[in-house]
Amino acid sequence: MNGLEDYFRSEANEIVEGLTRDLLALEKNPVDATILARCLRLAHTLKGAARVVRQTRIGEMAHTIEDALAPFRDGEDTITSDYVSDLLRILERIREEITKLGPARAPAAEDPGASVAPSPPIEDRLETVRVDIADMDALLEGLSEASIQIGPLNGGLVALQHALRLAGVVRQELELGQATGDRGRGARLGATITEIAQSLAHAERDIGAALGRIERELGEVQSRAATLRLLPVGAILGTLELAARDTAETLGKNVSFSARGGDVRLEGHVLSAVRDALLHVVRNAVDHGIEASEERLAQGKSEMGRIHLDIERRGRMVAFRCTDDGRGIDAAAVRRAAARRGLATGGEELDEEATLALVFRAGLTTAAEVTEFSGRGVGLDVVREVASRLRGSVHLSSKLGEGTTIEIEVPVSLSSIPVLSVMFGGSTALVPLDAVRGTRRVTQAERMQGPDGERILFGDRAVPFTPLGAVLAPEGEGHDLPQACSAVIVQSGETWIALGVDRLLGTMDVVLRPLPPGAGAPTAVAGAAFDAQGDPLLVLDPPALSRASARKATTTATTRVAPKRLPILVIDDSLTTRMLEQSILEAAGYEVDLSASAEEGLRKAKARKYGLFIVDVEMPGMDGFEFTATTRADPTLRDVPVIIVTSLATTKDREKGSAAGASAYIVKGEFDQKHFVRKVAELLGVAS
Amino acid sequence: MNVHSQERDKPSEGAQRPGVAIASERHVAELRRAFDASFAAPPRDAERSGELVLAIEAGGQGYAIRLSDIDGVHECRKLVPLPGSPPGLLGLTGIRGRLFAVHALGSLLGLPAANETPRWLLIAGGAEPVAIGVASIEACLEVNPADLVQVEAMDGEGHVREIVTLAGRARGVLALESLVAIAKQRAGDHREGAQ
Repeated sequence: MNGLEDYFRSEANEIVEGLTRDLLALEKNPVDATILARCLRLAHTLKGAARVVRQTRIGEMAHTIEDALAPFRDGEDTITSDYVSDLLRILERIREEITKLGPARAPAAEDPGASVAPSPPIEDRLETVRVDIADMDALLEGLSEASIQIGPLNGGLVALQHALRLAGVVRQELELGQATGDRGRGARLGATITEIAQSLAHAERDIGAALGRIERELGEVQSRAATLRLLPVGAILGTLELAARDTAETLGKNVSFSARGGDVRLEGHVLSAVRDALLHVVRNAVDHGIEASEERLAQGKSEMGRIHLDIERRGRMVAFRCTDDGRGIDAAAVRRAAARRGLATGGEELDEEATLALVFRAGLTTAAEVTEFSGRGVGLDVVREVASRLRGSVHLSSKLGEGTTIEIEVPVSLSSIPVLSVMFGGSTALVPLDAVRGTRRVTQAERMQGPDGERILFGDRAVPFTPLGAVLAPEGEGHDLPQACSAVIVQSGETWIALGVDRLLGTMDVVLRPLPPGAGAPTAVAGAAFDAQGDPLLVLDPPALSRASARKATTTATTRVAPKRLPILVIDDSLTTRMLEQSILEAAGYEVDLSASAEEGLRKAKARKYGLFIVDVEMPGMDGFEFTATTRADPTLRDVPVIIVTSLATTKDREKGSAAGASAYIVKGEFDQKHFVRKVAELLGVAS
Repeated sequence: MNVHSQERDKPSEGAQRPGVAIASERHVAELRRAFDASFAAPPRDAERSGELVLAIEAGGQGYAIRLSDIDGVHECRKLVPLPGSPPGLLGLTGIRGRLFAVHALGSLLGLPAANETPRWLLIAGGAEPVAIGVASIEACLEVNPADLVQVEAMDGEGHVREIVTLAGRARGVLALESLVAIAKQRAGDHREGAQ
């Protein structure tokens, strides 16, 4: 490919994108002569350009579009929707021809996401400068370098402040010395030192002010430069509208697509990933959401289904809210599909939110048939994956018969992220703040040793605890955590882990850079950022950390299967207590079943053989004492020991528990995990 | 390695053990003279200019590198180790706002004491550069291209492609592309799609 063809490819892509948008606009406003004129001009430009580079096939197709549009110029006929559809199909073929010319050879190719991002809309050409992302990055890099130079200046300022303080001390000492004689010398020195102090104060004022200015200016320039590389969301709206339209046409449905907020801007590769996710959302909405015309009319809805995309900037995030007025999601059908796929047992009670969340699981579809567009169950899990990769989130809400809303929230830019800076063994590492759920001080005594490693309590969770050193130097260059250390609690997906660090240094915004060539792909490292001196700091990768932690748990889980133990049944009406006890017991290697009432517990106890019951006292219906007494009276259950865990702490209560036949009585207020696990092991007849 | 047997074979005057230190001092002095002289020399036209080579040391051995094979020489500042690194990958460093993976030259060459802390970093690898750490740079010298003698299969790994005699001592001229390739291979890089 020579240079001219490179230019053509980029121009042709831009024209096709612009023509697509304009034809769709023309369909909505068939009498708008301005749009028609613009379409004609674009088709004509494409024809000419194609001929210059001898792309005759593209040239002919552009000519066909031009010819087809020309008769509408005089305004006697108005263009129809079918006609526009035909022209869009031609455009699609042109797009295929352009693709055959090969990938763009722009320097931006080092970022594959950015190279596939659609060009800005063509009508923006007069007002916007097209800037190569690679050039932009070079500019940003230069600015970072300039900012780095401020580091030593800051150091100078600190030194000056220090000198100023010292001068004050010396003067004080001299003043004291005056009392003991040699007044003349003292006064002379005092005057000199006062002068030094004055000049130092000047220096401090000047440097301080200059630094403030430089920092402010550079910050401004940096943020301006950063916004230059952001693309308007409008650039992807044409593609989404086209997808809605194509899907609807193939399925014989009637759908309108509208959007608001196309001028919101975000980073090219974020936008291109969001576009892929939204394509799934839109196709899903047309295929599963929007009903056929007859069905809609029968339900008193308008014949044409409506899909609306609302784009809104929220601080450093952008929300894409896609709403359809279709049939909504049938929660019962989702539950059935989940049970079929083994994603849920079907027996548990899932609330609306938990059920809808299942829609994002891989391989789940409620569609009666798999169509060309969706129904394979590979759509919405992609949406979740994209949101997680972009450090964003996705939410779904739906009303049966009224429609579905899917909201994807992603950061405007991935290049600058807020992080928590932590210190471990003399080195500093950065944890992306969006994954941090909290921090707490941890003493040695609070680190509980279980079969799969240490855990600490965070709220009512027993979170696996890993010293940061085990992550950063798995080969084990021993740096022990201090007696009291800090723990950073990190969540990724459903996994929580606590990282033990010497101390927390604070939060900051950093430019996250990918690891350079030759650095490999070390586990748990997302990239690096520079400190004020221009030295690298590692940025941890929470999803990789949790994968490693989950793998560790699986390994230990498989190794501890060997001694066959009976499961434990936990009965408590408080969800929090159930979860807490479950996490502690599972961490200790036991299999745990849960019941929310004593009645349900009794049913479960008869259906399965348990090694131990752990029961609360105060529950609606049958209480824990009654449960204990009932099981003691049952020959098949009387040998299964019972631990009562309750907030009732009086001696009378204890006696009551003992009378009912409980083997142990633990008061919630005095709850101690080690004691609890030891008691459980004792009663199950195994060593803890 | 043959390179070193050649060095030993060179009749450096007073090659007995006690004289080694003296010979070495003389050698360094000669290199320094040549280094200084290269600045004093008047600029020549491009056609007649020779090849610039760096005399370096890694893993206790002397080598040479064509200056045209590298993209930069920087003093080694702070190195940040990466978890689970392969041998020889010393860590990350920042040079003018850019990140580089630093590999020890000695380790790439398979020499003992390979993970020595480098004093200098040589940047090589074109569009996807890595930094190669060397213990010291002894001199930067201009040599007549005719003095760079091609070697065929002289060392098993194929990292030495020529021999150059600097200040009376023969040194292997390292082929950096094969060393960079080893560095990337060790790090298990799969930079797919990077064009």
